[in-house]
Amino acid sequence: MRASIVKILWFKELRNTFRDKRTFWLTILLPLMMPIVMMLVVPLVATLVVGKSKPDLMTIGVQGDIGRFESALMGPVNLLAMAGFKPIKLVPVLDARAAVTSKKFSVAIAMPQSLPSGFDDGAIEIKLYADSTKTRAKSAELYVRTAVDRFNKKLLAQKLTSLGLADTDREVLRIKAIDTADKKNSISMVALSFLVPMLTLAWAMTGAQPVAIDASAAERERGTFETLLVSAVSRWEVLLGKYLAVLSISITSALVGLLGFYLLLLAVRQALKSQFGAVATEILEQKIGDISFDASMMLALSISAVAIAMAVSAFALLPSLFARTYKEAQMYLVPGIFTAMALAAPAFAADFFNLGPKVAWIPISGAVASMMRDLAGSTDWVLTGIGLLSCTLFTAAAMWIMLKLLSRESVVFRD
Amino acid sequence: MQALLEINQVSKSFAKRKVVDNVSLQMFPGQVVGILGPNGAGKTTLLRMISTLLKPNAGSIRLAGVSSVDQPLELRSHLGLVNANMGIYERMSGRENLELFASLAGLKADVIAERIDELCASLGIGDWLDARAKSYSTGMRQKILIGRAVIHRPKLLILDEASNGLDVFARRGLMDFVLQFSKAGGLVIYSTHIMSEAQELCDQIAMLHEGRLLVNDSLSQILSTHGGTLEDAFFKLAKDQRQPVQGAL
Repeated sequence: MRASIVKILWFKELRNTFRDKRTFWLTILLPLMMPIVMMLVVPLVATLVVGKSKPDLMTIGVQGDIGRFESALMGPVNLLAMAGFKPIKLVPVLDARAAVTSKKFSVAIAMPQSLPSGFDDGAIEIKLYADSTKTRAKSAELYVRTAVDRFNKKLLAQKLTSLGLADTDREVLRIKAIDTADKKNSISMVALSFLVPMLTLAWAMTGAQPVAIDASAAERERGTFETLLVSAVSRWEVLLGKYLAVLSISITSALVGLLGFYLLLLAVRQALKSQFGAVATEILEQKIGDISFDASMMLALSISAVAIAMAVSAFALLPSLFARTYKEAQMYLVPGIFTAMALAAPAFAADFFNLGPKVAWIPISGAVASMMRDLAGSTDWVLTGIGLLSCTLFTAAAMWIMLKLLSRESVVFRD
Repeated sequence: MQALLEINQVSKSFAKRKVVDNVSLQMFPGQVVGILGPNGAGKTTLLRMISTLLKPNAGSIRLAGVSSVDQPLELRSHLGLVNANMGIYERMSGRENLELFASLAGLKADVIAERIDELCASLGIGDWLDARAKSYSTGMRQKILIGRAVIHRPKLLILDEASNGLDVFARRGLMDFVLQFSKAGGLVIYSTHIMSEAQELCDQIAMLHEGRLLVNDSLSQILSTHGGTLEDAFFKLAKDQRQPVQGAL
């Protein structure tokens, strides 16, 4: 094998790719532009929609006098209310049932004549009418139930005080949770740790597919494949040149997407912070975690992204080499995408099924597991290495199969 | 004189169907050899075997003493192939196409520039060579394909139905180039199903029918033996279903 020939073929494929505007948009600009567009859109939406008009999230019809229950109902959402939201709007109605059945409200409550002032008054019912087919009704119902719960707790606290007890005395057995994970990010980072590897996989696929098809099936369709094969180059050189081109674009797409995602998170955080100040920080810390990726974590994430791109490039090129036309290759690639996603699945289920580090030996899954660990704030370099190795071994096996395919006359001349 | 191309009892089958059946031919430098026959006669398969793209099931092929099976890479460095199915890279200019294939043949940048200048003169491609190939006409593409096939100065140029779709000017240009290439000492294999074209261009004719060699002889000999035109000769030979004739020049 001659490295100079491989390099010529590799650069030829790259040049062909970048001269096709559609492929360029799809593989490089889309992963880059998507977060940038979101960075512009999110602050704009936050400013224009949330900041100024402050829309009501849900409206609850109230039959009867809401009285002092209103403060209890608004209580659970105080945090959001501070941020400028008006999450619950209470609207007086004459008949709570009719309000819901007429579809004007998803939820309505019928208040009793009077609310209990203490435990001695006995149990009194609030009737809650809801259209269970509506998602908003479920949320509104949850707010009402939370409000009732808070109301009851308030009365209970009063009762305990009158008996000379503190509110905390009702809990004789308590839980004190101690997180033993070696991490600096919030446990809520787990949500991101699912999202980021899947997006990386998607971006790697987005980058690999058009180049793989263009370098193989489309080349066959255009008649340049035979032109290339009749040159004084070996099949192995042709294959390696094509694979490197697919891999280059796939890696670029994955890394650009990863970078874009990181920038997006920072931008969202900054936009919300400037809009809502400390409240946004509190929400973000709880829901997203501390977004402070250091160089080591970024390096580990990048290595895993490269590993995913390696395997995905092989996945994309293998069926494309067999296809006669662009359309045929696209058809073959659909099961390829699902297979790649299926290979990622064990990483997500590893904890649940107690798969342990064995999961890292599954191609793609190992790299995904490593990324998940990175995003949880505890980079495991052994896991990262195994993830890379499993993808490398998979790629080597796929390349061997591709070389065998290219050596078959029935594959080269499928006409 | 030593034969440049030796095809010795070559056969090829696809799914138990014999596409080329025990064909033997010898070709010499400076010749234009016509491989003739109707569609499906086995012409393209034979030429693909010469180009090392297909391996014969039996027999051997040697170009300049190099075996098509044992040293395919080296053999390919001695030949250029143009067929009707071939295309060029449309997102690249004609010059970039030529540079690519010259680089793959191992030529240095200064040699490539020199060879492209020569091709501009012989093929008349200089005016539009730097435009993207997407905008080229069929004739222009064919000239780039020919340029690609000869830029490394091969000993053998194979043209397989290369005149398909060409207008009268482009076809004339192709024929002129073929004669020019053979005069310079190169061997040309010109495969076509248009017999009149071969009659105008070739000095040796090999006719194939259903994978078998009907005749291999000089043009003048075939015309004098069978009378009329090459087309008449082909019909007569195909009708007779004679055993392959191993002609010698």
